[in-house]
Amino acid sequence: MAKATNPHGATLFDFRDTELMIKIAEEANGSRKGIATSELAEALGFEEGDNRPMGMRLGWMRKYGMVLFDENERTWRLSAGGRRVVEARVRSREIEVVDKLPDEAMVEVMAHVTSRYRHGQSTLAHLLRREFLYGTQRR
Amino acid sequence: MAAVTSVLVCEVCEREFPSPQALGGHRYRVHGLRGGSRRSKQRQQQATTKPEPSRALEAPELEPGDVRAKIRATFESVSGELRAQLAELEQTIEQRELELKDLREARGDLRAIIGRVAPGSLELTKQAKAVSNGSQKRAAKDLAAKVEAVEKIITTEPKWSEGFTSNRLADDLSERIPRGLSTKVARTVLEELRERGVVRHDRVVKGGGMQFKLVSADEVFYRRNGDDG
Repeated sequence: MAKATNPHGATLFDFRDTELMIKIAEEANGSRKGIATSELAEALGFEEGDNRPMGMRLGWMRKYGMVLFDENERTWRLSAGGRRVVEARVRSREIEVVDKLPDEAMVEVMAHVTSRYRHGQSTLAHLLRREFLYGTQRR
Repeated sequence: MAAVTSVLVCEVCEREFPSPQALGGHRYRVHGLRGGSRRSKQRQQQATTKPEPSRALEAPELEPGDVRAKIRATFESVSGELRAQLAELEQTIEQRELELKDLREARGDLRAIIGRVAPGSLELTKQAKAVSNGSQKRAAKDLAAKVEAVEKIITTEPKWSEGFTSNRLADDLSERIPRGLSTKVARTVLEELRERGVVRHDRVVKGGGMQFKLVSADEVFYRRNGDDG
């Protein structure tokens, strides 16, 4: 089986938070039953038995409130907040409006984003911060 | 007392003249006689016995044909020296040009090595900056055109909804995209579309590549499966 882009981990720059969350939703077939770490790793193309990077990543996503871990079943699923973010991402058409805004208006948009960061739910704040990290990575 | 005026008389024609200059001029013009004063006679004698100042032509001793030969010889001598100097100069220039070429090649090698060992550490020359800026602008424009073309194709043709790699994209679209589409450029195009939220990373495939999926395909999935939780 193939290795991830970074063979030592499933980092933010290999898979964005929303990409993993969509994968969880996809593999779990939209149900609340969840998916095991090994199954998710396999679905993402990691080598069999190479679950540690994915386990670590999911641990952080759990801490940020994007996913939930079922201790009994040992499976992962999206949190309510995570589900809302994923659904908003794939169904949103409002983003096209933002796309058409001129560059000068983006500063104002960022001000609104940071306001949500400060006053919104913690899961959203983490997602915003990490999305910014991903977007501003050195190319 | 009456004023005494002296009158000079020509000894040949007995005409009278008021001054020595007038008499002298008359004697030369009319009778062909040069000055009769002692000083004048001395000058005439010196003129006939003293040789002319040295000149290249030496007219009194040379025939006309010899003058031309002398001039030609002088010209040949001078131009020969100039041609020798010119030949020497051209040889020096040629040698310096070879040295310059060698130095430029060495500079290019060094820049290439430094560019690999410490990228971005070298300051470009003004000319190199201009060339680099122009190339970068052209490359950016070319990439933007490819991104637009690929986005249009993959979001309108159904076969792309199940996912694809940059290899497959390059293989299938190379001839449909302006100026072609290599695997490397396809990867760059897809990452750009990922930035825009058009595609996402889906899974790693054999060989370490990445499979991409359209975000709009996720919408279809959600519409089909919903959320039964």
